Amino acid sequence: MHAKQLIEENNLKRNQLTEENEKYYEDMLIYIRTHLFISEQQTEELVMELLDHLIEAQEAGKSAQDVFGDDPKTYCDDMIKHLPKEKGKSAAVFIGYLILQFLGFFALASGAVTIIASFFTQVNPSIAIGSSLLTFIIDAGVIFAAIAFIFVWIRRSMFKRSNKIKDGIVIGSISAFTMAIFIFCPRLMPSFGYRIEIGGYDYLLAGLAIMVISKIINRKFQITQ
Amino acid sequence: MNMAMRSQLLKGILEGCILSIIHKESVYGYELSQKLQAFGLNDVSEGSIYPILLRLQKEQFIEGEMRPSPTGPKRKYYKTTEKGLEALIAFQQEWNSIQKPVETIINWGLN
Repeated sequence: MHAKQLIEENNLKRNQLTEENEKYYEDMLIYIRTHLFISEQQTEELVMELLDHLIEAQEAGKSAQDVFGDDPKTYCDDMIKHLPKEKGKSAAVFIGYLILQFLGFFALASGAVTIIASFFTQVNPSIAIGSSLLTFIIDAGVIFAAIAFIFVWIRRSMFKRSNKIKDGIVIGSISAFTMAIFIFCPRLMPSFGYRIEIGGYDYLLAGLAIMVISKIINRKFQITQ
Repeated sequence: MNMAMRSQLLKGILEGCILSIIHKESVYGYELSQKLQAFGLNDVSEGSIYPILLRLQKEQFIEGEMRPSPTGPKRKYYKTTEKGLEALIAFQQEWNSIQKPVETIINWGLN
């Protein structure tokens, strides 16, 4: 069975758990799933096994704590260290796919903004390739770093009484920082590199082409199926 | 006995026991934990089989296969590999060579 099917089945089956067992299980689930570099397929097979076991044990009158012990973090770490790493190739395809998607949205958004702006003001249609490319690389890097940080943060806050206010402040600051980079990076970037003329419709066209290409890649490698 | 000492002592032995049960017949996780308890290992927490199952898979001593269980839903059934059988035989020899001396030493020390 494919990882995506297992995830859907897991979502349905979790409803059979009592409230207390569900809380315990979901903490383990999130903790294990936020380890991004282990094989998704193996991860989903494992968490499904644990869920099936817990459901059977629950019918026999046992709690999640009886089954998995008092120290879920150590228990999960003990399993994670034996899980195989995600294959380099599928990780590379996935990251490539994300970058392509991001590039597509970037082009579509630039196109829309340029076209709307051109109704109200004179838009300079030329851009410098060097600085635009660098801006894009920085934006993509910041997005990946922010996502990675948020994952680590979520993982760290599992299994303990989490402080909602503190979590909110941290995740809010990260999002604000990311937005600030997005807004100020293109303004502060000195322009360099070969200049080309590119209008709003060119952006839209390029964005659409990239989205179509990423759809084809997705179908070929079954990234999100 | 404290937890840490217990788990150290149990880990290796439990691995041999699990390998042995899986070799006798192909089982899935919950069944395996029930079998261990039926043999009298009541104090082993059920969940502790999963880290061991993962390690045995990593060593290629066992393999998992999804198939329908007698009650209907699909379960991951484990079976031993050629390499697993060799490991089981080695474990048996190791165990036979230490079991008697350990028993004797402990009884002697406490007398």
